[in-house]
Amino acid sequence: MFLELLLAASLGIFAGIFTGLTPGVHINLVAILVVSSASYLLGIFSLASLGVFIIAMAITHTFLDTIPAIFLGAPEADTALGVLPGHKLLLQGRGYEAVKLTIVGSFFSFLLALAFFPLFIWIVPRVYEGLQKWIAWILIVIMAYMILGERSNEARLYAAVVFLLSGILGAFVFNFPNLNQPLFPLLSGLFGISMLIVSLSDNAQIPKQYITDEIRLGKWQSFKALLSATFSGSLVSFFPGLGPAQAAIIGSNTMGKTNNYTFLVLVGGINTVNMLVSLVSLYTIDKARNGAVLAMQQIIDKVDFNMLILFIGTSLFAAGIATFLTLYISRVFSNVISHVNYKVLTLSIITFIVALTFYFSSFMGLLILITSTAIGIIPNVVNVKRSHAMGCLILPVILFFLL
Amino acid sequence: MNERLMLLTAFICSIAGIFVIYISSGVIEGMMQPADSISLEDEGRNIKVQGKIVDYYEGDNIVIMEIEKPSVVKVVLFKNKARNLSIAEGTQLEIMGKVEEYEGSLEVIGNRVRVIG
Repeated sequence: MFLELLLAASLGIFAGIFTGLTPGVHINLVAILVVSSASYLLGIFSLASLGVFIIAMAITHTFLDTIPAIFLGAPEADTALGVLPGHKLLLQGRGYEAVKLTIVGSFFSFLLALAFFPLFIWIVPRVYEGLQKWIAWILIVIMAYMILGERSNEARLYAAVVFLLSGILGAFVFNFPNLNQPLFPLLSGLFGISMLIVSLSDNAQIPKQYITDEIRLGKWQSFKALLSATFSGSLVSFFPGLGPAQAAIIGSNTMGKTNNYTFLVLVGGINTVNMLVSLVSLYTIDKARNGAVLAMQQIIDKVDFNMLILFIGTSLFAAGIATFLTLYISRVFSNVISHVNYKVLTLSIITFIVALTFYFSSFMGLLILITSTAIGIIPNVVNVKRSHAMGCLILPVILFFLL
Repeated sequence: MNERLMLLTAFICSIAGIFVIYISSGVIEGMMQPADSISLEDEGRNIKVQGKIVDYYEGDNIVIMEIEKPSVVKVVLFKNKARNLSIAEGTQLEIMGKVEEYEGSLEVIGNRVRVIG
């Protein structure tokens, strides 16, 4: 049984490498494949092994998905806000450092969340019902705070426009029938291609990438970032409709003053914490809060205390291995990317994203991609924060809770 | 902070994870052993039952089976959990499910089922 579980965890880590590094391939896709072939797989593996596979894949994915976001500008919902600071560091020859900061966030927030695990188990069933009706208002206050935080009335107006435009686009995309992978063109346009086009117009070049052992972070700043990641990542994992993207907005506002370094730690930490703590929701209130945990719930039905401990052990194993893997793969990317012509690379990435969008979502996807790219360029032109474009995920959630 | 320190912590974490998986595997394996019989103490627990179908009733959405292992256990299976499963007397099944009380007697509400012979 032990060797079977270890094998399942190792296979899960390999699957997580694949989903984490491949833009457009989400863990939900693999999790659905596991569920749909469960009756066959259960003839070979135990229920616990299938659960271990999914958990190991999900945790590994949250470590590795920052690599395509930072090096290629192809984000997912949970890494979208990390693209810009990550790419800035890449253009300063510090792409490896950017990934390393997200690993610091992922790994140490994971440990922090683990330390808070008994508290989460106690608190979730007690606050779940009460807090749910306040989620929309919490998000409204946070977005208002973000918009009002811009430097002038004109900038505040532009920020509100960016928020509303991206929010309306998001609401449209989520309600469009039979659209495959709606997030891919939406987020790639708002945060990926728009940024790459701006970099192209600035004639940016990728300099030689420096690989250092040092992690330049102040103790207090990094602790605040880790605490914010743990708080916001766990908060959103208890409620429906919320995810790491909303957590990044909550976290960056609760944390106070941030810079590129601490922000990357925050973004890195949130999605790992979110994945880990979603196990608490499954265990305490029997609710699955993301695709991977939902898939697990469909296979295992009810997670008891022994199973929870097994999944925590699996998460520990996967988080440790993923730290090594992400740093190693990031070194490889750093060595390769500085030898590539930036203009050719950027155009290739844009072509790749367009092709993937067409493959997943056909012409409607391309239309979404063009629209979201246009909206994504606005913050750069009017000089407001790009994070207002997270309205694409925040506004639909607000409407979901209010209407 | 130093990268080496982070990697050392990650290494310790992996080892700790393997240790927890090892300990858990023993507990889970015990739970996954087929139950010889079910009692009131098992109510609400997930158990595994292996045995031969000695009698069954098949409705539109439900199958009720009596499984001999060698004592007879009643298993209730909703058909959405048993797609492509051909039910016949003498078929050896392995069922995972929850023990529940219904009208004074204990039964297993099947969650997963597979033919083993």
